[in-house]
Amino acid sequence: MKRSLKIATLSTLVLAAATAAYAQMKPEDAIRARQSIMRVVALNFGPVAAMAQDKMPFNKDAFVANATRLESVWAMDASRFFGAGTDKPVSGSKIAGFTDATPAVWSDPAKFKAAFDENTSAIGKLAAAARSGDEAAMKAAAGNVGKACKGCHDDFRVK
Amino acid sequence: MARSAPLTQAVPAWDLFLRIFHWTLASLMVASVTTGLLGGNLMKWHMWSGYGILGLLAFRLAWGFVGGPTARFAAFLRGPGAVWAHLQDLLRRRPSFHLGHNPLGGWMVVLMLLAVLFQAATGLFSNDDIATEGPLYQYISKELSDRLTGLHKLNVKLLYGLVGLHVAAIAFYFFARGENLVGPMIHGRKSLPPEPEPEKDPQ
Repeated sequence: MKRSLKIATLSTLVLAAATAAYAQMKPEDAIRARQSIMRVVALNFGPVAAMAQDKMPFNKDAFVANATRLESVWAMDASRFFGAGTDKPVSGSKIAGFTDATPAVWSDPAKFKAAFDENTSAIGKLAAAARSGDEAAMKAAAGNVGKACKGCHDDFRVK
Repeated sequence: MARSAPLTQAVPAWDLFLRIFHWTLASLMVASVTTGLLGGNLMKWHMWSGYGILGLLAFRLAWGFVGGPTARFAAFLRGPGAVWAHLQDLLRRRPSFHLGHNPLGGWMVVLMLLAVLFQAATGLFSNDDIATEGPLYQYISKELSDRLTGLHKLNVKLLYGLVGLHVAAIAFYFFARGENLVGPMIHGRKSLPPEPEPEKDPQ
């Protein structure tokens, strides 16, 4: 009885520590994580935007594949990786030697969350339009994703 | 009837191509700012607008050498003495007349053209980290492109200031000096000022 209580307590502590460790991912890894997600987001959105703006011939299959993948990758939620201590590049780090996040991400988290969620909604609508198969709706929805990306970048990304 | 002639006489001031250049540039600048601020699929038109502006600037450069009399750089780029004299005219509320740009306005034109050129040129190398890249982005590093994009965004503020000053100066000439500068840029003619000392009628 005593022994099993000890084990239970210990396992709970280990689990809690592990959860905390995940929540407090090393800044180096967090910066790497969010930049990696955003990079793959851009890789999937690029062809979609190019087709929406007639810079590239419209190919429904390619459009749908990219828009669907974009929704999945976006669901990884890069906004989780802007924790405390990740506002500056990690000096000497090969994988997190820079960050383009503005201080506003940490000083105005509510606004950051709203701008981020705006794109979640726009990407959801893009994926829905892709499923509908209506070319005009797909292109218009892609434009709105571009606007939502810009809406967040304008305040929360340095350039 | 010696006095039947009107006191003022309209003479050609701005040639047709210069006027088309002016209003097309103004329109494309509005289009560029609008599409740039809104983003999304409008970025396609942002780029076309930029190419249009570059074409207009190339025309304006050439027109500064072979265009109408008031369009030529040699005619309106004056030394500091002339600029100072014009400033004195303004400060002392003395009337002045310039068929084309006045000595101060001439330099303002150069400043505006250079700022617009800088804007269009940096745009060629810019990227927005979303889905738009200038046509020359691929020839430079991402880091340099990011820096030029930053300047592209910063220079817009300078352009707002210069355009604001341009419009304010036009309002100043209209309200404080009674000279309408907008009309001549539309129809091309300016009214010569009345003779300083009209001859008296023989009694």
